[in-house]
Amino acid sequence: MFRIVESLAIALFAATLLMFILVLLVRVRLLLRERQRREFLAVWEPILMRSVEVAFSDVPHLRRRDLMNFLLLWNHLHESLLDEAKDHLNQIARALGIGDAALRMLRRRNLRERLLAIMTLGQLRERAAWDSLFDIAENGGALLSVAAARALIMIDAVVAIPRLMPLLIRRADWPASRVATLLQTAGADVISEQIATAAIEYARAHDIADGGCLPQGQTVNRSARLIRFLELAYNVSALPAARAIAESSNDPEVLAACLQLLKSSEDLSIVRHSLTHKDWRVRVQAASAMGRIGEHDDEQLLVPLLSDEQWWVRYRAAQALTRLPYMREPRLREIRALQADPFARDILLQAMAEVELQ
Amino acid sequence: MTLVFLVLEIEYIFLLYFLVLFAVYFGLNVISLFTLPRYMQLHTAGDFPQTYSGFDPPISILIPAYNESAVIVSSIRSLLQLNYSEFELVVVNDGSKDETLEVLRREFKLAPFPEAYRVRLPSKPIRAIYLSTTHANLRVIDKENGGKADTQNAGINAARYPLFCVLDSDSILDRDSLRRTVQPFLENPLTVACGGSIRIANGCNVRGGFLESAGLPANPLALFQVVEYLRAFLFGRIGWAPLNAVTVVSGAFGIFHKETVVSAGGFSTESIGEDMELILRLHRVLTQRGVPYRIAFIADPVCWTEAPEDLKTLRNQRVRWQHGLGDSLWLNRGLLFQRGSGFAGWVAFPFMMTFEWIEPFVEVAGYVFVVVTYCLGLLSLSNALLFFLFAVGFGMLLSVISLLLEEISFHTYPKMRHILLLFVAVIAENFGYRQLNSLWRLRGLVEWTMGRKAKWGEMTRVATWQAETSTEQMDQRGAAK
Repeated sequence: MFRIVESLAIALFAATLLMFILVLLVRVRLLLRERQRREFLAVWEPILMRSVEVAFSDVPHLRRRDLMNFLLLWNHLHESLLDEAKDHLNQIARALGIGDAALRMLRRRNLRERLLAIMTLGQLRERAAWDSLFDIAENGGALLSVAAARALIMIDAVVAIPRLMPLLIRRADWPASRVATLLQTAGADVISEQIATAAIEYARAHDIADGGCLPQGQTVNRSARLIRFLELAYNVSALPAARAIAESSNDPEVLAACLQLLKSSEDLSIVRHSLTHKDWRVRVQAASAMGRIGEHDDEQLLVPLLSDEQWWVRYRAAQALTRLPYMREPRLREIRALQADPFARDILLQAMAEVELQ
Repeated sequence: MTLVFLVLEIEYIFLLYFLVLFAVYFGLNVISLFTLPRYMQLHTAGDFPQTYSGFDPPISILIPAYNESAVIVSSIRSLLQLNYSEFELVVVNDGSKDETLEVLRREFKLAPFPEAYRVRLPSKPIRAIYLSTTHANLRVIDKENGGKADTQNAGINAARYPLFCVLDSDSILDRDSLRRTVQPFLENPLTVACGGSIRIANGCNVRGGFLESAGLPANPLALFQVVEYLRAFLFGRIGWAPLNAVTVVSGAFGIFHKETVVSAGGFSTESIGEDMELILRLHRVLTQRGVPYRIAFIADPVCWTEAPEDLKTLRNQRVRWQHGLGDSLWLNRGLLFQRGSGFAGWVAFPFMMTFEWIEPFVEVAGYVFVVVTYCLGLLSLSNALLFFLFAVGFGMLLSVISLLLEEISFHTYPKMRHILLLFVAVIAENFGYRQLNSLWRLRGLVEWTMGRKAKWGEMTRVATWQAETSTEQMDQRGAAK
């Protein structure tokens, strides 16, 4: 027994000492890397900073060990600069053979290196990397695949968007905010028609009936998510698509997503009809839409919603009332005084106070 | 002969207990050693300038305030500078007896606002709601005193956004704390809560409410707590996270999905460890409902908090934490071996019961046993020392692995001197501090078993990194242990 304890105690102390030596070694390595980084920055930071204004014809040799530091700094500048300033940075990178190095890095196991390689190839618009990047976009983990998709868009948005569209729909692990950034990178010119067509086709093919469930294995309503991206498209493409889907879909989440986009008086009939939808998510978006496009006479449709069971519906209806054309404070006070429901009176008072504070 | 045999049997039981404890901790360390480097490799993406697309989920930040007149303004001013696309600040004044509300009214030009306040979670009555006329995203809820959980529930009722963030009024955040902690919600729609690493602010340099440079405290008690927090967060939480078995998201900083928390009943005013209680309840309730979910944890040090520097405050804190642990486990005992609860109900919960809840009893009993058997002549001095060294070696190894995890990830403490000092703390904490902690926790365990209520103690806030110095009621600083 005591021999076991003795052996264990010795092993624990030895392991502790070994771990501490490891900690020191990691720290020493870190300090050495930091020194290298400082030396690198002393040479390259002024060069890259100046290249933003003037083209460099003669760039110094880049040491192999500085490659990662260079890519970090170079990509950092790329992400911070406007388009015209980026050309000089690309000239320097090409002169140093960075494109080939990044292509080699794509095959490495280290995720950090692969991520930097993907970003670099995108900034360089390296067409030779197209197939590899597309493969990563299709099969890579969430972070790498989104980065690869962005790189493809930077290389050639017109070609990339149609090919990426199925992935934008399928890959629920791509955060909506990142997909939106991808689409913004491509620009409304490129995405508008593509996304409108995809949204209509997907909504038709995968309509989920009211009260239905998402298909097995899905955690988000893909159709509704796609429709929300229409916000980034030109109105001329987005609005007809949203209207068409809203008129045909039975899925409350999809309908709510469409209502978020509607902003023209042409859409009033859809919006008015949706004010009495049984799903509160639809009613709240319909009330919000009323705040954008409602007409004076819509007051009668909005007032009953002040007593809705859902706070958000009441709130949006109250806000919409305050925003209706020709709506003045005395009339709002009259409406409030006529309400028997205290919730209705309270919510209207809040909306009126918000207007006053604005 | 029988007595000697009995002593030997008991020694084997203690040894077995510690070996199992070590095996689980070692397993968590191995998980952390694999997941942390991978996480750090991908961390590069977050270091580049970020653009916001307008598709990021907006967040309501809930700030409980009780007698915080000295620090509340600077806290809010720094929170207003957080790097995130859309957020609102909901300050909940929990019936402060000092000038907290007056200071807020004056500094942020608050105007009474007739908000149609929704009571979705019960809380003490609301006295008034104010809206800042200088900052459109700042509201103040003034309510009767009800404690932290009650205050957070009132904040949730007033929150407008789908995600809410809880923090202490003196939590020091990084500018990117929100952006980093919200990532798991973006990447996995099943995420219902996410916490991040909490670190000790004592000894650090804080300017404008944000951490300027990390440092170590001169006070040995605070220094030992730095090691404790590294241990608690760098393998205690990271190890459980891939198994979806995180059992606590610290009240000092965490982000939650509002509707899920509301549907689970909000923060419990029954428990003094309301942060852990909520997470265990989410595991239990969501499993019961068959709802797929994920409780995430990110390794990034996203929040810095002040550690007690005197024995009395530290004792009160540890006694209270042990009460909180007991409350949380008892109120959620249904999670134990609950069908479908996965690692949370089948591993993490039993582990917490066996190795965190009753561990102070076992540890103190172990020390007493060694001393008594030595005094009775049943154990030689060398063997008694051997047992002690075994326990010390066990604690040291776990702590030094945390140091290694810190070094391969964030290496927060920049100087070699810091590493050496932390190693000294790793060794020194085993001689006195650890035993004191076990005694305090045992006291908490006994008091809880006897049904005595825990109290929020008074905390002497030193805050040497900031201009303000005050003595106020202590906020709970998360259940790091």
